[in-house]
Amino acid sequence: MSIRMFLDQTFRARRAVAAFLFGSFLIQTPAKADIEGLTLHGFADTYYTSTTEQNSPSGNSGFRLGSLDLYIAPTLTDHIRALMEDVVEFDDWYPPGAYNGQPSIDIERLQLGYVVSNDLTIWIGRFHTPYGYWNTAYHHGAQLQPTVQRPQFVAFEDHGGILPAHMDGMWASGRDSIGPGRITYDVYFGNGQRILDGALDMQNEGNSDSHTAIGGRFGYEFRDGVLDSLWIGVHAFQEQVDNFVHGVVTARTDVQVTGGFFHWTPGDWELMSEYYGFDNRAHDEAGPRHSSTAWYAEADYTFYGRITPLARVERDSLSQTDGYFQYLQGGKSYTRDLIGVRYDLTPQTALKLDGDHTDATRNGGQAYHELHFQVAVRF
Amino acid sequence: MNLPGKTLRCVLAATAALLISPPSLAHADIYVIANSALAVRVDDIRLIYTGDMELFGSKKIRSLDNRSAQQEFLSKVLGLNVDRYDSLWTMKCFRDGLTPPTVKENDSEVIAYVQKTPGAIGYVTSAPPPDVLLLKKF
Repeated sequence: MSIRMFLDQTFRARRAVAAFLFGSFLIQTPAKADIEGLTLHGFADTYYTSTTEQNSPSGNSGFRLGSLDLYIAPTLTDHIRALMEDVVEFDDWYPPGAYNGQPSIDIERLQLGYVVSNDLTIWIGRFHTPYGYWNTAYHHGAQLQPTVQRPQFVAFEDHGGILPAHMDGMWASGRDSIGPGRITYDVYFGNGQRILDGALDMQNEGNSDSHTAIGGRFGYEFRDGVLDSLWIGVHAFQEQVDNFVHGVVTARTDVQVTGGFFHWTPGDWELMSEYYGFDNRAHDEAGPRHSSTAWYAEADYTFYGRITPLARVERDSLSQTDGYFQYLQGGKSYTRDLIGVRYDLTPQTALKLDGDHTDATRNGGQAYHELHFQVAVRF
Repeated sequence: MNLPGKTLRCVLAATAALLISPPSLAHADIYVIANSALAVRVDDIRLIYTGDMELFGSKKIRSLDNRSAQQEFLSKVLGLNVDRYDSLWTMKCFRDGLTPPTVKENDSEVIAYVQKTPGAIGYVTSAPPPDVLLLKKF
């Protein structure tokens, strides 16, 4: 990136967040009090990290700023609602030589919805891609999630993630009561992703290569009995992803993902897991399919409503002959074992301490330890 | 039973405190009321206050919280405390873009809003006037 491009982007980003904050201020004035949902909400976190990883793409040891997340959810008419979310953060994973020490501003979500009925809403815009549990349940809400960090393979696109955490397109989200619970469904399509500088790009300014991503998530949520609160389901998506180097396509890959997930809170326990199976293939060749898998499982238990020890395992086995993982910075196999504890100082303030051992030596990476201490708030 | 003098004094003091303390809202009745045009079922009350029902027919339901009676309502009707209720709505707002119930300060504010607003539903601690719909007394 040239200096001029960087300055342009920085200026545009600052202008965008200033406009958002100013707009948020204006719409909270009494003149607009007839519109519901204009209260500005948000999340913020800061933390200390100690890592033994050398030349870490996710940063060095020391105090670090997490993210500042601001969102509003206005109800515009009986049937139309909106959800707008901006995030200011430092990108952990960056193209070599491009880290500039400056925060970036992302329009995380900008989605307009039509409420068809109590059981169906149709959205258009940029939204959190509905797969698994973590991506839509917590996303940038650091205070909501039990641990300091997301599982690495469900990290954001610019933090080394291997899944499209955001989508520009349309999304139908619904549910219907059946038996002791209800089925849930999400169906979406949108601009296909591409790989730029080793990170997934969701093409916010148009689908330049006309590849469409399509996917869905289907689940069942128990609302009674011994399985009360259990949400279990399957997810799938597919798209063609091209890798670009200096504007030239170096690989085209048909990405096909299927998997499953569950989340359950029996009593003071919280249990969750997600699984993703990749069955990718080079688009232009009749070559073999490349199978890869990624999953995590996590459990925690809350004592006295405040103290929550937890444990998580992550396993990521990614084919390095797959044109998709080959060019993604985070597309390396790894294992991670994590333990931690969360203390809810108040319902709005969480203190979290996580320690993990990560082994990425299978694909030539490092084995290292990390320790994170985080203060996360919501407002 | 022989109680040590110090323990006996504590028991007597606690009993006296209970007897002379003002009536607590913890035993107040809760009347869930609605605008006369909002004939929802009693079972729908829980759905409305947990964000699972936002339309009645094609019209938006406008739910109200009553700050002076919220703790009692949440305990009796939803089986939640205030912290869990706030967390629930934080997640509903963040994940689904839902708007939490509008907060009114007391019974009279709730009744005034319900009387004049189609689709409004709220709760109060005393018998409501006849021009609003009483859905259920808890």
